[in-house]
Amino acid sequence: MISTIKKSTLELSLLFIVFLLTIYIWTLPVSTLPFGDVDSAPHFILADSMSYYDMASIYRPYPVTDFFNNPPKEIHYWYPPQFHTNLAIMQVLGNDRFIPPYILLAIVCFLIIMSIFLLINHLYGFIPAILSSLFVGASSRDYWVYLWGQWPQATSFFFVPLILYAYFKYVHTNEKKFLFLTSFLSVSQYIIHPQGILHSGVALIIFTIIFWIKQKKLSFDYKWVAICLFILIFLIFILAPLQFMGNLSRVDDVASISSSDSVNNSLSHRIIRLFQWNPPVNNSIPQDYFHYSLSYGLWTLPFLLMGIFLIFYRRNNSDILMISWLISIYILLHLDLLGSASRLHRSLGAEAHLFFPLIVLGIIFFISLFKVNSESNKIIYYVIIFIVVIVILSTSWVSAYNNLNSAYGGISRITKEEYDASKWVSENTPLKTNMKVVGTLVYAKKKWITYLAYKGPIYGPDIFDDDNPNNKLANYAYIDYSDAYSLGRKDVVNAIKEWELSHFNGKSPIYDKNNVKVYIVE
Amino acid sequence: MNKSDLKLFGVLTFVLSLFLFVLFGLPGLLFGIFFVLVYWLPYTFIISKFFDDIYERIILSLFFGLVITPTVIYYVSIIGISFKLVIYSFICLIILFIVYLYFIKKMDNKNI
Repeated sequence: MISTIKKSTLELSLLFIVFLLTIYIWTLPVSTLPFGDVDSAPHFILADSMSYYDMASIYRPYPVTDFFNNPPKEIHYWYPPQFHTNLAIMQVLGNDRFIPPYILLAIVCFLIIMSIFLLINHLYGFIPAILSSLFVGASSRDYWVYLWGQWPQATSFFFVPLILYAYFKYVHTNEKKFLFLTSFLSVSQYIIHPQGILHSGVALIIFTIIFWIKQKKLSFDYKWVAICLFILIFLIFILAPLQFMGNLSRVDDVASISSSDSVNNSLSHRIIRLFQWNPPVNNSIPQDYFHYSLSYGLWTLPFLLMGIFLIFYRRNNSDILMISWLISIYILLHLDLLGSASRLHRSLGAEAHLFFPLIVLGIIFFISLFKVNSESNKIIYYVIIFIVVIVILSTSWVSAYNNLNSAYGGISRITKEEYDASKWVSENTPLKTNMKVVGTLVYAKKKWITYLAYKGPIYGPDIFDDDNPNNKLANYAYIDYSDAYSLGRKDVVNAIKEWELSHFNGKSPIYDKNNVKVYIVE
Repeated sequence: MNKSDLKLFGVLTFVLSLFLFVLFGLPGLLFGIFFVLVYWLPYTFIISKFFDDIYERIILSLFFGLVITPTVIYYVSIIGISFKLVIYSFICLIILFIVYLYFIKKMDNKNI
């Protein structure tokens, strides 16, 4: 009994150490100023508006609404509110606008280490589970999505292992609580982001079919599955009612067969594509994201292949779950063959959650070939596992540390000068007005500047953007010299000055501090 | 849920809060305390009634918290009550619940 307690305490302590280490490297980019690419500002402002106005609303805050209409058209949330409410809660309780919600974002974006641990610990034991968590904690496929600001999607994928775990336990124990748990977790996943439910759903269907073939009987009771499906749909309506008030489901957004998708339909392409793993390269995503060696390290490839060989060769119940998951990811990475090439690259994040445990299985299989996995050779076994930990830390973790530590440096995130001006505008100008941004050199920051000012955003890729048809809607002009001064670009500074003179000659700015000016547009 | 589980959460809260305090100062400290209090601890009480496995209790409760806590707070607030007031009331309820279990119901080492 005492040894059992000590063992579980030791295992929990190791899991907690991995949790703390992951918090440390994932929060390296967190500071007193926000970061994220163009998707991040709307997510942040949905949360921020709740604490800013001290009320929850069923409508999006003004910067995210359809301000092009006159009067502006109010639009319901396009996400169920849970994800953004969490950020707002931590803003209030942490007593800071950026640090607490960003710590929470880091945590929810790496919670896969916990869900992977739960699943792999049940299927294969503690050592594969903790090694998988350690690997996934430094997964570049996940931390890039976190840095880009596609936070709900990242969080949603992390329910996949939990749902597989709950369903796997149901078919083995036949305890109904695990079927209810599967339903509840599926609903939770849907309301965080619908893309993840595709992964869970396809994996569950494939697992059910393969398990049915293997056992020669169905692994579930029709009646209870029907009840749980009803609960699932009912809970989605209860927990996410706003989704059904004009914004019916975003699943179509993810998996719709869109004629605008650039899909090569030739037969030869389709046949070749069947033998390729990665989806077509998306030009809006850095090419490195698609490279195996840059995402996992080339040294892991033999172990991944060994892991895949092992699960197909052995085919016990745990392996069948992993095989089902592998097939489901293959299908979801090949939706372009069914006509949809939209957002396929996002499924690569989910791929990493399966590949890392497979790599670990391959490593352990490789070690077992030398017959050191017996009781008499336990010490040698643990020494080898320790060496594997060192290798993971010195490769994946060092790379993750470097990337996260250098993310959003310099002017690539909104600066203190820019933020102060945005904050001043939000506090000293009327609500439901619009602001044009001029002079800011980083495209994604223009969104942050207008959203943090709670103004309808008017900007384009060009620093002046004079051809933008929405310029006539601008009530304020935010003229930003700070980026150009930071880079020492006097030519850009002079160009902005010329633009300012040509548009506001003889007028006084309502805000003029730290190389940022704000004018009223008349 | 028993006293040893509660002690485990006490240690977890202390270490997490201290760690975040070192990294981020007061906002980190507050985050550590309230993260455990709002998202983790209350759901471990509920889940431990149904799940014996310690990993299920600890890991599932966090995922439950991240969905149920915002659902409660959002939908109570949406009827017109101050968002901050709802959050503070929620925390008060959790603290009262723990005090009730620990001191009034005399939590022992058996499951409650």
